Amino acid sequence: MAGKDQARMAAAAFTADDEDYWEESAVSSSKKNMFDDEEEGFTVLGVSENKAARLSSALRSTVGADALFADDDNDDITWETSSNISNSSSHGSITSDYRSARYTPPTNRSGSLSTSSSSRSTAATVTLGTSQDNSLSVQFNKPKMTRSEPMSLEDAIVDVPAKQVTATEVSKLETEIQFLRRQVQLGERARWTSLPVKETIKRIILGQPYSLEAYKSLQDKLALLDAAIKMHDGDAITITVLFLKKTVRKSIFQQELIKRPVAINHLIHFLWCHYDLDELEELYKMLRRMEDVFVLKYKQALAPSKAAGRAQSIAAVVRSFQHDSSLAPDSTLLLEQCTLLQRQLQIEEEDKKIAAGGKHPVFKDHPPKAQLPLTPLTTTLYYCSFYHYNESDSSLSSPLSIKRDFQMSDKQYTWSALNALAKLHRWKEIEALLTSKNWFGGTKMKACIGFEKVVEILSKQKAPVDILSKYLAYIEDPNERLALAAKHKCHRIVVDTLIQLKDRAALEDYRLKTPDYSLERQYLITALNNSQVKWKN
Amino acid sequence: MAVSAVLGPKLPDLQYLKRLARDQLVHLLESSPGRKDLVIDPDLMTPLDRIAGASLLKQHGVDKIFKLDRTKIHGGCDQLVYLVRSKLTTTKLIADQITADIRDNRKRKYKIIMTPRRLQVCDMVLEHEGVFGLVSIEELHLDLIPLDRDLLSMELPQFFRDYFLHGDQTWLASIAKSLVNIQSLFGPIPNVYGQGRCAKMVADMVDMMMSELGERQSPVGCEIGHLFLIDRDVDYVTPLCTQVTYEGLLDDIFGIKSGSVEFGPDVTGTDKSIKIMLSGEDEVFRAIRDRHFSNVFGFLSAKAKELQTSYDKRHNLKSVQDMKQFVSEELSNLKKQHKALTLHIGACETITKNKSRGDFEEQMRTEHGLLEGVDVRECINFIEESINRQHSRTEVLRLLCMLSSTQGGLPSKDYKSLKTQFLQSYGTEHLLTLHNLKKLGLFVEQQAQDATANKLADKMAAKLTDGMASLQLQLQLPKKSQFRAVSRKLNLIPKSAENFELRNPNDMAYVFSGAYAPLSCKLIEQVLQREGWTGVEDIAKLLPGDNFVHLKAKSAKGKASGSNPDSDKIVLVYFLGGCSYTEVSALRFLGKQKGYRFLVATTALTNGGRLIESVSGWK
Repeated sequence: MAGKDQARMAAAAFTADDEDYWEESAVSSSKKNMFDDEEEGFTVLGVSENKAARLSSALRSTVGADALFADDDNDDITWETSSNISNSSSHGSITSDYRSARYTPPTNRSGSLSTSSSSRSTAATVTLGTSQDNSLSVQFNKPKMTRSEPMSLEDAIVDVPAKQVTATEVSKLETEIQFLRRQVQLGERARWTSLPVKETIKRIILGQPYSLEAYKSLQDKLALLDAAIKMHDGDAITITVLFLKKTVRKSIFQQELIKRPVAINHLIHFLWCHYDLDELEELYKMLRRMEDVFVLKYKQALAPSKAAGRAQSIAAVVRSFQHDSSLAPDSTLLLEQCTLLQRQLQIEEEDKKIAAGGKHPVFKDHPPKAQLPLTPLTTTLYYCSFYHYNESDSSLSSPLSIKRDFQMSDKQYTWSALNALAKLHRWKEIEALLTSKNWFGGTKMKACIGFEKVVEILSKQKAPVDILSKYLAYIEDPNERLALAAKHKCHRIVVDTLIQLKDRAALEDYRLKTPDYSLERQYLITALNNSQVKWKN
Repeated sequence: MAVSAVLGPKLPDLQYLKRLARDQLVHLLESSPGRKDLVIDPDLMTPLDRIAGASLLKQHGVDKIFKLDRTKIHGGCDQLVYLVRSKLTTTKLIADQITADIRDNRKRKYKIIMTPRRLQVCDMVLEHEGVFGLVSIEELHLDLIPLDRDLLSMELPQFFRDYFLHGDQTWLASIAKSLVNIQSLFGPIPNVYGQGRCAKMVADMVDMMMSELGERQSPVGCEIGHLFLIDRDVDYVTPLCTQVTYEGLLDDIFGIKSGSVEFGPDVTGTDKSIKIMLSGEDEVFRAIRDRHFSNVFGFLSAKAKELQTSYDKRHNLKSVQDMKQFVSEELSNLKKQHKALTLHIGACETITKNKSRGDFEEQMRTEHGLLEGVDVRECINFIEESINRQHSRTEVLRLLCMLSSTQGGLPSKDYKSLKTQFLQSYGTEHLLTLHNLKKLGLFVEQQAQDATANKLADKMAAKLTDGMASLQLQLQLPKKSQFRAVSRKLNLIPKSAENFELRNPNDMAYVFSGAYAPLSCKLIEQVLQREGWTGVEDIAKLLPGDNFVHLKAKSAKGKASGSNPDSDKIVLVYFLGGCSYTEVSALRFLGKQKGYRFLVATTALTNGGRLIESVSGWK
């Protein structure tokens, strides 16, 4: 069991160095036990060839060849082996003997070596960790991979100094040892002395290992952040600003942050993506960006999907900003939204009853397809024009009362009402809608949206020709009127307009477009024969 | 090829980029042996199609392919590979799925392949969620994807929102990296021009990365002579305009995704939809893609007749030999063209139908009015009417942004009235969208102060350092585009729109029916012609962000051996924040006119609709 714990410890310490290792050890803890048992049986651990072979066969028998340790999976096995060894080495087991035989440095040296390599969680020193790991895996890999050949490296391990080792090999190994020692020392130093800030940022940008731990002084932290900003990389800026946030007092952080707008942008974007909305709100407030606070709170208030809940949460936002005059216009819009939501709920409740009664002709013929609440104001106005057109304007659902209460323009009202009435083919009411009384009690046809648009809407709803003709006649521009009248085959209007334009030739041409023996044809012929008109052609 | 002979200087072969990306992906898949299930980021689905099909993935050990979403990943393999865009939210989603696996006692190996780059913040999220040790993280350098012989895209539409709206510079390094890659493939680019804050930062980062690589002697000569980096906010007006070139219309109406388009039953005339790749390899498409729409149908019908004649040849075949030759050589080509022709004619029909609805003409009149700055009141009335009638929200917002961008903001009264009516018609929730558009400077209220003061503020902001410039962004001073003045100086509006020659255009403005030449492309033309900003300073100072130029001395050394002698005529234009198909067409036109060949690179292909949608605050 101790072996298992060790493996876990090593794994926990290893993190940044090699995830493969991590995974293996985490996944295969049961295999670990078996390992250790095996290991105890060893007297000469240097015979790594046998060990590797035995290990792999043992592994295969327990896990089955299909799993992670397939035949060709040298690396995995080597990792297991090497990690076990380097791990137990620090406990002064046989492995360290083997190690010292090979490496000559004293045991404690190699112990510290493996500790430093395994406790690397930070990047500046990972290079070292990796290089050591590599050399380890080389040692174990080699014998295993080239099992059948005579191997100088392995010979050197087993029989030092009895076997013949060539001078070059020795010197090669010594150089390697020297190199590794230097690396260790460099690494040790590098761990506690920081790289120049620019180098660290460059490492982040280029995706190389790095460490921020060593930047302890505030000056260093700020220099780091400023270097990130200067080098423009968003990832580095976010990392360094979060590092500053984590490592200094809040007031210092805020004081420094406020001077660095680019850093602010990155922190804000990070908090958004990370859904740290409370913290974001606090940050906005600290920066006195009240409009952003407002928008953030509003966005959160829109979370409820039911109208009633949403109305409540929006009302809360409005209340909390009622003293902020700079946001008054937008607050008013939100207040209107609340009022609308409540009104929609009331109207819907009433309408459900009406519809259930089954007497209302419109509800009977056109049962509502969608829910009213949460629709925009314009849609609500259309809905009310459709179902509640003639209600007195004291009723909540009367379109006129909606227009009044929400201060909608005549145009907005006319579009909605006209569309609704046309859909219902209520031509009389349309006429009333477009009739305005003047001061002296007389009436006049008036369409604020223009009669050409009225004709367009009515024609879409297949209004009869006489209805269309009525409104076509009010189009002022004769050419536009002529084009539209011809398009909708309102022949009388065409004739009248051509008379107005004194265009006899066109009138002659139009004759064939009117149906034979029709009243319109006759009307046209009468016009052609009219000697009162001063034709231009 | 005959084509390149006609078109002048030869373009570098962009397919290298594709091969590199594909090889890397294969390597990443093969590096963990055994079968694995693959989970793909939805954002990467279509772009990935350009690099590797499902069959390629399956050849390299992929068992099942899933789309990354909130649902649990089942799949039968004990290895799970995620292929995703490096984003915080995506990373969190993956972490959640792994955590769920742990809860279910399900054990598998995880690998996350991040593209275009592994982000430290993503590592941090994985660490934070406690799954860091369970995954191996790899990088796939999939940056610029070749969509055509002269078109490259990062297919990263979110860059626009992230950078221009939120000021997040995370993707900049990947953009810079893509330029480093281009230069390591096609040689260093001697002349670099740029306009905009982002352009400047990218250029800085490219310099840093190149110097990090060292003065390595590039094995290839220099194949690209010029690089022009341009920020999208230099010219918002162009992508906001309704497109009227054939390819632009295809994008506006059908939506082109990573260079391919899906035609529905109304186009194919069958009950099936067909997805086709749009590229210059298709002879018919190559002939019509850049044309003004009015000039497409005539070509297609002539082509149809020509095709008929070729088919008819089969009646006059004299010998078996002739017959054999016809069948083996011409017939398949004819059939291919026939198929393409049928589809393009079908597409034309749908476009015509779509554009003959009631108010299209009025809409075009409005757009042209806004561009020219005439009858603005009428334009506002049309927009107001569209709002009241609840026409397509995106279309309305597009027009509102065009109005504001061309007018340098709206007078207070109009701004308030349009804003209120907009919210009444589409829901108050869209206050969030309007807030975003305001931040971008796309839909803003004119400040009371007079124009000169405004200009001064702009000028100052442009000169300030990075930090201060975004302080200005933050204080939300209006970033006045000064569109009118720039338009006059660059002659964007042709004198006589009436008799404009659309069939054999001699003016770039043909891409917008002779009403307007794209600001971005005209700016590029001016700077290339002058080999720098000298002489156009008065224009540049009206544009947001700084401009810069790095020219390598034109000594004998510059023309080193191995350099493609044509390289001086090859120009890479990189749009930061997206470019429209119309701009690509305009640059192709400019190339033909001035003897250049343009390579267009962009973070994403965009159009008015997508630009607006990408910054929407409410669905």
